[in-house]
Amino acid sequence: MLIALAGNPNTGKSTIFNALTGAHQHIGNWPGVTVEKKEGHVEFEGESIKIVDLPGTYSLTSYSLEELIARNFIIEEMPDVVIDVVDATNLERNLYLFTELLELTGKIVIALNMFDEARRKYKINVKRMREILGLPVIPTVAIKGHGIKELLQESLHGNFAPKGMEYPDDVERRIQKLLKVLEKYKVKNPRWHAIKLIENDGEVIKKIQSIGARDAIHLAEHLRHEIEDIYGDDIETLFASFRYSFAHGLFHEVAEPINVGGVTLTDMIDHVVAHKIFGIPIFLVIMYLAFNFVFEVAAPFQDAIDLIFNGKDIAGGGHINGLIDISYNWMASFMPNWLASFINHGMLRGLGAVLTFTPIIMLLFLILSVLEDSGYLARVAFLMDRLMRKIGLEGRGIISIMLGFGCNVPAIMSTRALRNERERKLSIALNPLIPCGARIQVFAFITSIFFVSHKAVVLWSLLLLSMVVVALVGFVYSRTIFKGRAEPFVMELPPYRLPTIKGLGVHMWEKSEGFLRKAGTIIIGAAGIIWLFAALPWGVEYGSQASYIGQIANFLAPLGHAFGLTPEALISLFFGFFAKEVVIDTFTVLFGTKSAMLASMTALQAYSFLVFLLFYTPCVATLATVYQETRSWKFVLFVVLEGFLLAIFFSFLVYQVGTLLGVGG
Amino acid sequence: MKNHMNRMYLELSVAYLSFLAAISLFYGAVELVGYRIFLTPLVLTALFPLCFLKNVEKKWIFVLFTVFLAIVDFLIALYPVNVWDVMGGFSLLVASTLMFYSVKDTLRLLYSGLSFYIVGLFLLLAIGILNIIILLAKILDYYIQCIGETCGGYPLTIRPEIFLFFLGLFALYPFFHRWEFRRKME
Repeated sequence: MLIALAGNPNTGKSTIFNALTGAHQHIGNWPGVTVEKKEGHVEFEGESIKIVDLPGTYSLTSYSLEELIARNFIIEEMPDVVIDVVDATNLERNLYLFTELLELTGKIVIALNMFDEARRKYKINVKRMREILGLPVIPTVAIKGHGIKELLQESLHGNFAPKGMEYPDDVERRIQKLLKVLEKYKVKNPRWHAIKLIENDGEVIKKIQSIGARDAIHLAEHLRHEIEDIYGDDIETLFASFRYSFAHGLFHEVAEPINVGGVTLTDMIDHVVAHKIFGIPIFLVIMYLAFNFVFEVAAPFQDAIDLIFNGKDIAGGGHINGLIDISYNWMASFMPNWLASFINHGMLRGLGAVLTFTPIIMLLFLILSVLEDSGYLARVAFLMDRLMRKIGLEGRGIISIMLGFGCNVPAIMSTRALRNERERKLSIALNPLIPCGARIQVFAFITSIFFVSHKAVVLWSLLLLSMVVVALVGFVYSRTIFKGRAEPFVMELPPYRLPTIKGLGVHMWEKSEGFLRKAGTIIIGAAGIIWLFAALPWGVEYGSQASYIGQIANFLAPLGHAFGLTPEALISLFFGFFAKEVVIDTFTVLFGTKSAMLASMTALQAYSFLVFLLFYTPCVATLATVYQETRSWKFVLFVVLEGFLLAIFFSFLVYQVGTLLGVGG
Repeated sequence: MKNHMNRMYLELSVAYLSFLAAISLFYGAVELVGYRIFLTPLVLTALFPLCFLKNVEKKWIFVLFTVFLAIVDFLIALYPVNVWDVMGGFSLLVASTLMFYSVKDTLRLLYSGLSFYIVGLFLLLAIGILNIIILLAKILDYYIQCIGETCGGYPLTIRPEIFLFFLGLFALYPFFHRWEFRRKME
């Protein structure tokens, strides 16, 4: 059996080597170089074990001789086990090398050396570290000989089920692409070679060139440029930062500082924002501030756009014509009245309604980009992970749930990253209960009309309700339908950084672009269709009881009584099934003005409507994705029923309790 | 600490941060409940425990400064604010709690104290700056709504978050001054 000892310099590696091998040592040089090579032998439980002490390194790049020797030995000699000697007093820094070793081999035993000293600095949860990494972790004090026997025992009989480090999705996809090409050439450890090729590692490039895999080199170059373009940084910095994020996240999962010393600003901020008690209130405050900022700052821009499109009635008489009035008057002079009305009161008004909300959407995505680019959202995931762990959903499931705040479709697709089928299904079942960006737009629209002075509080309360419900439903599901134990994993925590204006602009545009594109196509089209429903059959008064939309409303009206939902609200929910943004269109086409909307519902009814909208069935695209990911119509039906039941329950509760208390009438 | 002056600056900074925390606590409570009756004594009593803190080397200077700040606190608390904003109040209370929480450990030169100092202060500054931007947006909105109408000037009311922002800027001192924080009390 061959064991290699790896680790940073000054971690006590040599002391462990001496303790393992005793006097049975041979000191020489690595072939062709003057770097000292130490080998030794030990007999343990009848097994003859050869132990090689690799040079101490901080990483496994190809910049130094020591690094090359260490990594080439692992790649070429393929030791049965690598013991990674970690200085437990500098755990986070030492874990960086571990991330690189993990790419080379899955047979690693971690020796947490100087554990006695480390205990004065942190509370290290060794059991949790073992669970998370799926590898043996042994606390050692080499100078006292503690843990040495256990290292050999674990090397011989340990359970090695490594949970490897994964890179961000867009990087991981590219690694997989190159991996497929390298597999053709039968290289040892193709994943490591793929990563190193993308990382532009000179030695690996030479090696791959020597086997004639030119296509892999070209592809790697192309993929490298793509990644650099996406992240706006050079490839080496990026990969180092991915590994540090992993090490930082792992450290936070397993170590709790007793006295924080030699810390960075990131550590200090994390100490508070990821705090067990203060973390959640800080998160709630930040979300509230974010929403308040979005609504209040968007208001003047919204009013300006509204004025441009719809004009305004002046107090004391008179009216300023907006674009719609001017365009309608002009068109009515040369085309049939119904056509001018269709174009202006249907489509142009739809466009106006959508554009009015563009400032909110852009600011919302701006603030989300600030939170994401600064690194705070990763902490939110960390905080929520800890909280949700208690109620059955863990790890990457949290990330897909958080993605749901953008759009449920990619969020559900992202559950593919989950290795555990139970967690995957649980995440898919919970995801539609998270209000997606489109639903948040509708909330923004309704709250800005019905809750002028408490917009942010209303939106905040809806998001809070959604989170509480997701937590409760997750708790119930994890103990009933989706019973089982969740997989532990490392949440990556990148260092805090000041977002760049360019980065914010790019992210804000990328996210808003989708909405604006939809606005230019589906939403204006939907506005036209809704107008037709309100204007047909020919000759009826627009939007009256006799119109198709009026007839649908009459048919649905009895269903809404218990929840305070007006026929118009029910119609908008019906159209919202196709795309949630269409709810805005429906309101705009049916009512035309804010004052007409205000007259149609009380604040309580509006809140009950919002609660219904929060949970009831997700849009068609989301349901199609649920089917695609589960290949089960039963699961789709389950998602629809779950949404409706929760919507009915909470909407009924809000409306009936509110009515009893005489609130919002 | 290398010299007594540095220590004194540290102690005075902590007293000043507590002063900010006390006003934030007061206005947070006022915004949360919507009225100020019975809350004014909160400003005076909030700083009272500071006078009994250990790890204060320049005790008399510290106590005198604290008493002075308590008076200023009281005078500031007379500024009339009629805002009922539950979440706005909650935000100020959270910032205030973080700042108060930092006091003891910062005086002991522990990083954990400075961590709360930084986050509490930055939260207060963030609340302030957002309120300044919101105020500007409201003024702009007011004049947009006035198009075609006859309007007077904007009826300006300054929320406490805004003057707390300017008062908070003075507490940035520790970022420009390297304190020798140590890992633990020896």
